[in-house]
Amino acid sequence: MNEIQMARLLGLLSIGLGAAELAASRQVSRQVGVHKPDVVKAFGAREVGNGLLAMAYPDFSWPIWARVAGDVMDLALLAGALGSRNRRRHRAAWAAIGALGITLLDVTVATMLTQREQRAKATAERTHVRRKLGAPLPKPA
Amino acid sequence: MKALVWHGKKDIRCDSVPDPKIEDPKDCVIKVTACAICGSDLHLYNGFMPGMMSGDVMGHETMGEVVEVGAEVKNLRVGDRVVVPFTISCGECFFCKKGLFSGCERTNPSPNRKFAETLWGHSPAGLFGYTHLLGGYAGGQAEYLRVPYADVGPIKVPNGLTDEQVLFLSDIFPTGYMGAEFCDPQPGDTIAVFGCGPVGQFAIRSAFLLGAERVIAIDTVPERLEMARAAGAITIDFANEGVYDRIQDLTSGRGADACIDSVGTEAEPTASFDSMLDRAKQAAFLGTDRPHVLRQVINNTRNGGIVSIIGVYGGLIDKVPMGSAMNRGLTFRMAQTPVQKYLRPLLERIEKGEIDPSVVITHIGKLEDGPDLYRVFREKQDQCIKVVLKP
Repeated sequence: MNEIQMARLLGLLSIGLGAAELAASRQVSRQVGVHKPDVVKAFGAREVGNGLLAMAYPDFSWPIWARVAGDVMDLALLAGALGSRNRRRHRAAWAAIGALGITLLDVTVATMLTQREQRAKATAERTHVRRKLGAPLPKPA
Repeated sequence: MKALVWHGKKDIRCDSVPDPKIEDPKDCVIKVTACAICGSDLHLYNGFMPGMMSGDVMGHETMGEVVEVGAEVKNLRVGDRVVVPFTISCGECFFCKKGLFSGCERTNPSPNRKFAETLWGHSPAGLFGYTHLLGGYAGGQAEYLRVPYADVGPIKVPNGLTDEQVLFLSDIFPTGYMGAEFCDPQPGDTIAVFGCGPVGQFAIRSAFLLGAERVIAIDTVPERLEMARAAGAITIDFANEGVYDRIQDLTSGRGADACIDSVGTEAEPTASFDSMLDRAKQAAFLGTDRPHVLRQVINNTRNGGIVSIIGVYGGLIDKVPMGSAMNRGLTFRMAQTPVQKYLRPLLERIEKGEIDPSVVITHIGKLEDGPDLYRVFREKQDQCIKVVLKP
């Protein structure tokens, strides 16, 4: 599986997760030990948006970097639920571990896509044969 | 052999695939010496043309050296240097005999033919590397290419001309020329060319070759506009100027005598409100094409003028001002280019030095650079106008 296919897969995952957060924010919020269904709903909308962007631009790194930024928000929310006063902090801890794994995957795919972009840029510069309009082409070998 | 292979939307890779073989006594096989990425390849790259399958070899602008000929091939020999038209034509059917090579009724056999008939009513000719709707033939962005009906398509080219000078006889030069020819330029005529990509550049130059007095070129990419100006065109940057008002000013309020749509299905989605709406409809599977330029072309053609369509459209288009076209007596001319008809006369023009098609080339890479250069061409990065690959 190459980086474009992985980006598409992450996009699908994002849409699925976001749709679940939107449709069942209370249940999801309870499951992950966070008692903020409205925040979960907002994060769900963000996930769906990120997913659509990743599906539409699977060969660009920025939608996946946007996912990474979203992951950081998720982790911050979960970290806030790890306090000893939260009876469901164990659920929040497991959810944070899962979110960390997804963040790692997002960073890996985003990095691969960034490298792809840089390689394309370098290829373009290396193969550009006529910087100036009307300049002669290189002589055939 | 190595080839550029379609694996999905925006996913083209340089893979190893089986070498092509002679499958019919009328085939030949060429060793590709140069091939190009066409603007219409981007419709496949972007996933807007139906009928591609993972593993399909891309490319329909190809030339090379004949390395094998079938038993019934009479006009070619091993070692001949040839340019291969993107249209595959038998030369013997009802349409080929009329010179309508791109309507050949033999080169898109069933079951692919059925898909094309379902979508378009009738099937056109098969094309190299351009979906299973159009034959499912392997394309020429590869080290070798099987060429069916080898006596009908490929044209031998003299050794005095470089690959870069003759390669575009395979598609974009004849296509641009046909677009200008459709306009039937008369002395004093003004022709507006919408889209200054490689095909638009050839349409501009061909319009002058055929006698147009003025050519107005419309685009927004600075290097494309500069190239159009270098050819003698008056340019309009659609992002900074009102296209309709400017054309009205330049034509005494009548409109252009003829307008050429050399953009087709993927008009710039941010160009106007209707473009954005087209893009949204496309994303929601409510439409297949984005005909913003076609609308502009119709509205900017003078009463009784000619609309020439050479940009590729794939399916169904929405909100096209047919009322304007009908009430003002416009003539529509359009086609996938019957390249075979144009090969010899255009080769003669190149030999005489009337035009140098290599002017559009900005990037020359190897086949392995193809996936990167598809992206660069799509994003118009690094002033990219035309990419040539040398396997």
